[in-house]
Amino acid sequence: MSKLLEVKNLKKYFSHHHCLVKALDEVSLEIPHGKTTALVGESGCGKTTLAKTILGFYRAQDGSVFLEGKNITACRRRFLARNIQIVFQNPYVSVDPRYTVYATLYEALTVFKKVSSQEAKPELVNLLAQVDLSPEVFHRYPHQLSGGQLQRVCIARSLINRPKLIILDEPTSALDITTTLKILTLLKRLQKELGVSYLFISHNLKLVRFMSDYVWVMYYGKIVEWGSQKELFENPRHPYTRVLLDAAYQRLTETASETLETDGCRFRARCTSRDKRCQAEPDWQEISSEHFVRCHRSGDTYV
Amino acid sequence: MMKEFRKNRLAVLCLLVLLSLYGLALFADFFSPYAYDEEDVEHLWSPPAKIHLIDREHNIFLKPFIYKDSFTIDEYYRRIYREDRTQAVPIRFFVRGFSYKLLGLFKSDIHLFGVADSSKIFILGADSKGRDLFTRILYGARISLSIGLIGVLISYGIGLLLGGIAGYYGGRVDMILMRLVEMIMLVPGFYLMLALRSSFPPNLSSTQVYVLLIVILSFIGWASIARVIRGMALSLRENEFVYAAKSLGLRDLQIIVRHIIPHTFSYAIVTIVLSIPGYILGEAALSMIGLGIQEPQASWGNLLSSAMGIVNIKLFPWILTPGLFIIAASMCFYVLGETLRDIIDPKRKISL
Repeated sequence: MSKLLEVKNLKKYFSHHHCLVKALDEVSLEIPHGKTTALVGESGCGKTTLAKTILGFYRAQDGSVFLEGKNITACRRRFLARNIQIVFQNPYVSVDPRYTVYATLYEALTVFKKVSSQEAKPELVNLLAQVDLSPEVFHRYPHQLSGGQLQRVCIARSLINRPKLIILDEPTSALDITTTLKILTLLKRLQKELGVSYLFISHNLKLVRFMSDYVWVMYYGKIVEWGSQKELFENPRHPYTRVLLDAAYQRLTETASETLETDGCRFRARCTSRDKRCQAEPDWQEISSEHFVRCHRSGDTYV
Repeated sequence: MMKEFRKNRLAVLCLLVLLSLYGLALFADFFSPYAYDEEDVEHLWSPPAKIHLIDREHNIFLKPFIYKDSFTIDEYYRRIYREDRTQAVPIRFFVRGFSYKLLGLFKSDIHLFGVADSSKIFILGADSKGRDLFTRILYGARISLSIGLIGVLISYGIGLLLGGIAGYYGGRVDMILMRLVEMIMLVPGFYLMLALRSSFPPNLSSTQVYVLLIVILSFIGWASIARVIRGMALSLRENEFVYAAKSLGLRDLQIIVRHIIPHTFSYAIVTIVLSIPGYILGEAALSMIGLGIQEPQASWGNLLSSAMGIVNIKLFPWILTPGLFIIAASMCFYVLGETLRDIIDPKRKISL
């Protein structure tokens, strides 16, 4: 697999009331060309922080991000904008409520291109057609559109400068189930047409299974397991992955605990199969060439 | 929103008062019977003219008239004006007087009202040099009311931009800008005004003084607005549409001007209206103590400077009328601002 984006040992700590929150604790991640890579985990585990750090909104304490081999950790925003775009969770807050759809898209277009509002129109009409919207929506304001329509506008906006990677930060969790499916189908079609790669951030494993080619599981600032979609869903090795999978099918299989370990295996307080080894930091175990896990008990057979 | 505004009778009244004040100021040449610097030794401290409709013989006239007045000098060498009941002078409307350019465009010499050249009419009285107070109030309104508007626009321009920058960047930029703001806010406004004024030469032309006053008032005014806008920008920058703009590659200044500052407008409109009186009063204070607009130019403030002595107020109480105009204009702006604030309820209107 050829790498489009590579995240290496990224560290991002926030200090919050004299308490250090390790939002990203030496996170490494790889995103291949033209595929969908999913990043899953509970809310607050650092998924969005990772996205924002990749986009340069946060400055990482340590580690680096490579785009096609080029270190982009300290790159300027305008360079990143040509290559990486993001689609947010709630479309209603991710476009300026004072801008019409046309103004929103036109503004995005003019970042790298000098065109008059009239000249831009055919291009923007095409763009809307790509996301199955008619030019009728051009002169509407965000609040006059449905969530699905507006999310299409956001997707159109993210496509405008032909990026290589689009980060989808829970793009459908504010939408209802039928709209979700339509948006995801649209995204898949766009990937096929344009060859764009996705980093699909989600906590919904059903959607992840539908969307992605690779899955990375994150637990409180650490990647605990990653693998191809097929392997990970058929043979989940980390207990946390299994908890997430079970939860997707309405089964609760964890020890209730509010404790968050700061060393060793972070998950051990909630783990049903923990033992003494879990006090130590687990290392990567290779399950197959496309499946790695960070658990002392990965060799054990699970029931 | 217009509907809610119209429901508030007081606010509508205030708006009408303000509009008519600005109208009077704009067309001061037309409404005033005399030139603002026309002096008349025959009418020093002439009291407000009594306008009559009924004469001595109880005849009712359709047209108002005044009596020609003359003065005698009493034992303290004061002038005692007395109406000469035998000489009625009718008030004429749309009379020809001194020529002027309406709005600087149309040459004209028509004035709303006036009397025959043999006499003079001072509907609000005359000052120590026999100048018509009504005329001078109208010309003074030009300066006092425009300083309020221009001053507020300039200081809001600065305040919005610097507040937006401080809030958007945060960190060190925010630190430096906010300490600067605090320094300006810490010095009592009036003394800061005096200090700034005294750092410029005292003998400037009237236009220079006018510009200088605007600059001084704006310099003091931008600080408080910058602080509030900074607070709003701090929360606005966490909006996802700001992150979206960043990820699209927009420059910081573009984001601040296009996506942060416009969201503070509904707040800014209210405070702009509420802070105009501060500028009117600031100008009045400086002019009154002689540091602002200089004679013979009129402003509401320097008109009041003749009312500084208690003797003058006792003998010629009409010289306080510019103060009534200041109060009226300020109160109208306050009522208008408060009403706007009620209508533009942040919880209802702004969807941050």
